[in-house]
Amino acid sequence: MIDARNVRKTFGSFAALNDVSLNIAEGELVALLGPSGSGKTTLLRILGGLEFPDSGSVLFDGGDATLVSARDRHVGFVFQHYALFRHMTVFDNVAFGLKVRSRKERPSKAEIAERVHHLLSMVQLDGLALRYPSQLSGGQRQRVALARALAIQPRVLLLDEPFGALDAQVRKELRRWLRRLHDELKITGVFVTHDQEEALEVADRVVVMNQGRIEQIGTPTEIYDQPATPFVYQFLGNVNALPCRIRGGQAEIGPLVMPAPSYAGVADAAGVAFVRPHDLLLSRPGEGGGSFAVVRHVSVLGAVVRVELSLGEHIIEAETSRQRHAELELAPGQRVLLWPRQARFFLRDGWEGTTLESREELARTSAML
Amino acid sequence: MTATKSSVIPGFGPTLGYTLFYLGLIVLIPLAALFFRAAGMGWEQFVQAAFAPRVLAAYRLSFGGALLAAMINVVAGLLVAWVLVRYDFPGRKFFDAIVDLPFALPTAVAGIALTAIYAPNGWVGQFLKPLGIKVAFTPLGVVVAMVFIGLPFVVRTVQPVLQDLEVEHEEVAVSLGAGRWQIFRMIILPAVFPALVTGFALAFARALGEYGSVIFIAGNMPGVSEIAPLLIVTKLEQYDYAGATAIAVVMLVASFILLLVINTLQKWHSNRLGAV
Repeated sequence: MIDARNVRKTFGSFAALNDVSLNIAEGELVALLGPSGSGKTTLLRILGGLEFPDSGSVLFDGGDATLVSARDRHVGFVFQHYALFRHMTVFDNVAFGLKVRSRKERPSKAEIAERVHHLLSMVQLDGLALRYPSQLSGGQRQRVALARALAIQPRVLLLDEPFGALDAQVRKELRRWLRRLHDELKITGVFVTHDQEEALEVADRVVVMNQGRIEQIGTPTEIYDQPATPFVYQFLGNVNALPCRIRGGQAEIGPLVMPAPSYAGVADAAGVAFVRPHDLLLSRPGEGGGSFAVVRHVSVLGAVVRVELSLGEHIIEAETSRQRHAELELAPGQRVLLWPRQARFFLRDGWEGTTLESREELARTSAML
Repeated sequence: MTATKSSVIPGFGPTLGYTLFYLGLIVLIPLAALFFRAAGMGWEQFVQAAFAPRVLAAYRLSFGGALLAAMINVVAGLLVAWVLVRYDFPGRKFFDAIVDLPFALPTAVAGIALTAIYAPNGWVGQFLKPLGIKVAFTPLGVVVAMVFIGLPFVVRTVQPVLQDLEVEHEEVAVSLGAGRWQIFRMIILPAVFPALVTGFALAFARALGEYGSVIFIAGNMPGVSEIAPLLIVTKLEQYDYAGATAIAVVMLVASFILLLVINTLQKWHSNRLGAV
């Protein structure tokens, strides 16, 4: 349905998009996920015709739309700060796209009214048609913006951080509601977000972007369970990034040695091991395998228990259940056995430059969870 | 009105008292003196002084010219402000500063300069003369001077509002299929309308009271190109204080009513927006 091919865009000397290709199927809801400056908004604006690529092309239903202006593209845009027309009532805001049509294509007044009221009831705003945007809450405003975009029956709905300006509770509600609405209308949608939880929860497919490139495209499960790059690992979810040495098919993280069969041909190289906290198994000495680690700190966070351990000179974060915590009687200073159920290794060469920044992102995203 | 909630500056009583005292001292007392003076002359005498044919013609020119000039300034000022805000071009800062010159220039200097340019043998006047257009020493010249001095008022009131306009509004409108003219008429104009009205009112008031620059270019032919403020000065020079105050009172009342109407219009507009 939408096909972006080898899109490049620079602003001055800053490469916002660097050879990005993306295919979006009819009826799909896709999330563009990435840190700020990753090019996700630029890509969205190019899809919507608000920005034009320096090279590459954008196809809509197979037809070249690269240079088609936003006006003729029939896309619905929803902005983070709603961009409602302040001097118009809710009704006039929603009706705007219909009223500006040429006389030939414009529906009659009665038809417009009917359509607007239908849309307003769909976004659960019946009865607010005559209010002004300033009299609405943030969540209501965003729903008006959505109804306004849907009024022109767009081929695609493009949403730029649609829930970014709302508080956590409303945001959660609204994104479930968006998902339901999408399932009902089957409209093709693309939304930009820097919130991984939002992307994983709402989207059919997630496009992870970093520094003007696509790092990975996949379903939320694929993205979370099989991150393709160190960046995706760090950007999605909490993860331990541990320096290691890779020698002849094995990875050594301090005293811990794990099999790394895909690197069998590597004689000796520096690498980094990525282990999710919930993939770390803890057991009493003598009861399981792995290496010894010392508990440094234990914090109980609702259903899960977060344990900070030191393994050699590394600090590792593990997550375990309340029950397991009770069995092990974890306390600072205690020696436990540590074994990663699952880990992934990357050689340091080639991506070192990209991680410094993503480390900060990691700190931010884990703070948000 | 009573004090509502707590405000930044404490003490509703003292602040209101100060405001009224200040306004009274600076604005109301001199104006009241004007009315007392006029009231002392008797109704018949007042009508004779304030509504003589020559005076009526002067009102027409003053109010008509000021209204026309303010209208021209609204259009031209919006355009100037738009260009200064939306485009980046070499010398933008320079042009931005030039806008304020009519504020700063002594009005007599402006009048002499305008006369020199628009006189039949002036830089611009010599090209208009063959076309049969006379600017200097005609009512048209009066309007030109009034446009000149009023421009900065419109530009400076509209400019900050244009600056704060979010481009996203226009982008949304485009994506919904609106054309340029529709966007201007339905999105931009309503947003800058209150500022335009304020600018209009300021430019109008300034043009109405303008004396220095207008009298040089007007030629001051009684009944044709003579403005009301000049008439007042003329009467004063003839020691006809009562006549001068009579004209002044009429101008004052008329401009007060006009400004009141403009303010009400603006209030009505911002109420309609549900005042954010």
